[in-house]
Amino acid sequence: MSLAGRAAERLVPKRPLWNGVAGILVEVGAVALYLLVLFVLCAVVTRM
Amino acid sequence: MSRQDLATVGLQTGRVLWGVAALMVIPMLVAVASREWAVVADFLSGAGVALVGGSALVIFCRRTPRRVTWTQGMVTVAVSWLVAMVICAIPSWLSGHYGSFGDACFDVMSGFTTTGLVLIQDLDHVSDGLNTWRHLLSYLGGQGMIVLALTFLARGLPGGYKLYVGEGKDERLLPSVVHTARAIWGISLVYLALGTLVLSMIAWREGMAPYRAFLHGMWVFMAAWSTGGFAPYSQSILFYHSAPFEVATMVFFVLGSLNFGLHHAVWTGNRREVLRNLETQAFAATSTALSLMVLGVLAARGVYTSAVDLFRKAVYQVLSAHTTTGFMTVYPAQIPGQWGDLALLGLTLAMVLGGSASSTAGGFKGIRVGLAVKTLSHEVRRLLVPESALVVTRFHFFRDFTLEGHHVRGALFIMGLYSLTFAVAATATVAAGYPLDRSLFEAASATGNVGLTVGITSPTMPWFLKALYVVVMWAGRLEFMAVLVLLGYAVYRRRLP
Repeated sequence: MSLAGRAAERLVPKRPLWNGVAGILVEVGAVALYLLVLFVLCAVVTRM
Repeated sequence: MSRQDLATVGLQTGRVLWGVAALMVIPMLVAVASREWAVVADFLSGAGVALVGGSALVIFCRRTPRRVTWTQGMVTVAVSWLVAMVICAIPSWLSGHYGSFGDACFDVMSGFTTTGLVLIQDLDHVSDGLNTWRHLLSYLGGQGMIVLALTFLARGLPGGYKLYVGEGKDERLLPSVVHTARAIWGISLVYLALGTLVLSMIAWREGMAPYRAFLHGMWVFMAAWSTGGFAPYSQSILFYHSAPFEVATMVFFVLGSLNFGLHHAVWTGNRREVLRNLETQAFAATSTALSLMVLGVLAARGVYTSAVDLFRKAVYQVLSAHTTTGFMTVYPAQIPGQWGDLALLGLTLAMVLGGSASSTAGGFKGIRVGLAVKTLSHEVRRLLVPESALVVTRFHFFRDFTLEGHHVRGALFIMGLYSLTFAVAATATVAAGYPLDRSLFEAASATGNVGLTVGITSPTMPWFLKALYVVVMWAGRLEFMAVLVLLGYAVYRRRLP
């Protein structure tokens, strides 16, 4: 494959639909996890 | 700036007004669906003025080169935001919910800049059409309305990157600015569909009729994602009295405050970027520290005794402030009255720090806070090692960087301008007769495009304060560069080549 072809292949994401869905799940999951940590902090603070 | 430069600015502003006219169709359709015929007439009038004004500018300024220079791009953005503010305020003002046309302009600028401070009167009885308009302005302002208008109305506009930067964004997700703008809009529209669905389902489950649940879901998502903070009721999110609704809005406004570059990286397979990115690390560190501070104060004062209440009130307010959203789950008077000075200070600091660069959020932005901390650690390490030793500090922001002077200068320059603007707004608020602590809070809210309020922003506030807040919201959202170029042009135009 030519250099330009290899570069183009790298630029175009593979499986865009799956990556998009997985991306949303990762983002929402990360934020939900962070909120859970903050909730645990609330529980700790109220028991101190 | 030559006559040709002015013609270029006029041409692009005219196209933006065409975009504004097209945009008014959306609230018009909602008004038709809700059988609000007077509101339809208001939007027809607004769209007519936008169409005539835009066409006049395009016709008078049509003979200009298509390429946009840096000065033209910056001035176009600064001027277009002001012109669009005036035109977009027409249907708002015609609704009869504003004390003056200036108040309507204030709310439109608050929407564009995703601030969320309002001067609207009798908010609880606003029509569906006007509510859609308010939230739509906020949603568009968050993504960058000039870029939207010019990307879709003028395909392949040469020099469009200057307009993109002028609107306070500098991450080029894809090689061309048109593709970058489309990627940003793609991400926002996917989340709009998802967020509207989730919030509508919750509102429906909480007892709203399906049509109302859909409208509320859409409005609140638009305000959450754009970190705008507008709400259909004066009690903001407290109106819903729903823990699932509050948690869902928290997820959406934190997501909205993230860098579009980060969304794009994660959506294209680079999922580790969430953890490695200096900006998300800085946001997690500062929001956790400020949450702990406010939680500690409220627990010590015995304001809330259960973890659920602390989470729904304290954490919600801290994250709403830090992401510069402005949604509230407490009454404005509760914060200075019941929470105390230290909690008020914690929220003020959160508003100043703000969300992420190249996002819908305002404030200093996480990357600049991260760079300031890295610089501090770099300087301390330099003092601890022998003079001949070379100290290298690295950071990761989509790729690996070595900390250099221009990174620090860029970050500190914008942080300095924010601080100066904040100081001016706070001083003016104190001069208007408000207490210092509340003035600092309200000034941080306006400068950082947040929208939390302790009650200062109201239709009865002095006119000069309203005008000043419009200017600081506008300058803060555009990250000063476009505004400075416009001012520089106004002051030095005779001396420029």
